Amino acid sequence: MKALLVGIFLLWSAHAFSNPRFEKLAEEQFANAQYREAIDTLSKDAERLTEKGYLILAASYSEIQEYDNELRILGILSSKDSGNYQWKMLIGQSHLKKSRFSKIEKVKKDEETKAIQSFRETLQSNPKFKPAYDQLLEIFLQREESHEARTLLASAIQQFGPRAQWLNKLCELQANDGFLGPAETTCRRAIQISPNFPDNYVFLSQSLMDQKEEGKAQKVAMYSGKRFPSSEFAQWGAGQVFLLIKNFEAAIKYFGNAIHVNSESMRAHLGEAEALFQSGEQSRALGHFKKACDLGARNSEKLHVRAAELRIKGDEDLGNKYRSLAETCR
Amino acid sequence: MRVVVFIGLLAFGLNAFAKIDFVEYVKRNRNVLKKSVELPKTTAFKEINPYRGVASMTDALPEGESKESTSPSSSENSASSSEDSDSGPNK
Repeated sequence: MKALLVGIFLLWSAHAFSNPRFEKLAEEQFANAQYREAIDTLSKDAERLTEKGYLILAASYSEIQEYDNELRILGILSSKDSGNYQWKMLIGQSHLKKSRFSKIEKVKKDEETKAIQSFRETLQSNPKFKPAYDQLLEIFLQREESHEARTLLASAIQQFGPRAQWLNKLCELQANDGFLGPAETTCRRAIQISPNFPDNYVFLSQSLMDQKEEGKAQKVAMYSGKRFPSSEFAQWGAGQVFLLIKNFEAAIKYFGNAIHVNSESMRAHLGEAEALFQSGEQSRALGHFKKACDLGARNSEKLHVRAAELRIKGDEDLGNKYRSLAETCR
Repeated sequence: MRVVVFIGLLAFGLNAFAKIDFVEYVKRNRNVLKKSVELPKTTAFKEINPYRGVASMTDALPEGESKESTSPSSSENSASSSEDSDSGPNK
C-alpha cells in the first residue's frame, strides 16, 4: 500500500513539476487574462518551450484575436507531431475563427474551406472525436449544405449511436430534402429519444403528408398540437397539415394558436389568412395578409390572384382592397 | 505516511492548477465560435412565403434516392449523452 502511494506521489510530482518555471508563470498570467504578458513571458524563452508552452502561447494569441500567430504556433506543434488529431482540431478552429472575424469575403471563404479540411483530417486521425463532428455540422448547416450535413450526421450516428441532437437535425434535413421513408424512420426514432422536442413531430407529419398518409399525418398533427400548446412551430405545423387536407376550420384554430404564442409569426399569419380565405372569410383573411406583409412577407403575386378571384365572384370592393395590398406588399 | 499523502496531494493540486489544456482550448474556441454563428431558421412544409434568406425547398429530391444509412438499430440503447438536448428553438 505504502509503495503504491509513493509511486503515485512520484508520478504526480514528476508531472506537476515537469514544466519549466517560466511556463508556469505564463500559465498563471493566462489564467488571469494577462494574455500579452503570457506571450512576453513565453517569447523570452521561445526556444525552450514544451508542448504545454506552445499551447499557452497559441491560446494567448487566440484570446487577443491574433489568429495568424495562433496558426503559426499551432503549425509548429503540428510539424513536430503531424499525426496528432489535437493540433488538426485546433488549427481547424483557428481557421474558422479567422474566417468568422474577417470582414473580407475572400478571406472568410478561404479560411472556412481550410477549417473544413482540418476538421475532416481530425476525423480521419480520430473518428471518435465528437467536437470535430459538431464543428463541421455547424459549418454545413450555416452554409445550408444539406447533403453534406446529412452525410456527416449519418456517419456521426454510426460512430456514436443515436444522440438526440443529431437525430433531431437528421429528421429535419431528411424531411425537408424529400427523403420521405428515411425521414419517417428517423423522426420516429428522434421522437423516442426526444419526446419533448416539438420539431420532430412537425417533420414527421410533413413526411407523412408527402407520402400521402394523410390520416397518420393528421393524428401526429393533433397530438403535437395538443402536447405543445406553447410551441409556435408545432401549432403552425398542425395548421399546415389541416390546411393541406382542406380542413380549414381546424387549420384556422391551429394557426390562431400559433399567433397566440407568437403574434409576430409571419408564417402563422399567412397560414391563418390562407385558411380564412379558402373557408370563405376573405374579409377577415385580409387583415392577416396585411399583418404578414408588415412582418416581411412578399406575396404580391398571390394577393393579385386572390384579388382577381374576388372580382370574378363579383366582390369588386374587397378585390380592390386585395389589389391595393398586393401593390404595397412586393 | 501522512506526509507522503500530503505532498502527493499538494503536487496533484499544483497540477490541477493547470489553466489551459487541449480540452479547455477546444471548449474556449467552441464558445467563441458559437457566438459568431447564425444558423438558418427552422422551417417546414415549403412555407407559402418562406422567410427571406431561407432556402427554397422546391428543389427537394425525389423519394428513394437516398442511400444513406438510417443508423444501426443496435445502438438504440446508447441514446443521449448528458449534453444532448431535447429542447430547441421551436419549443
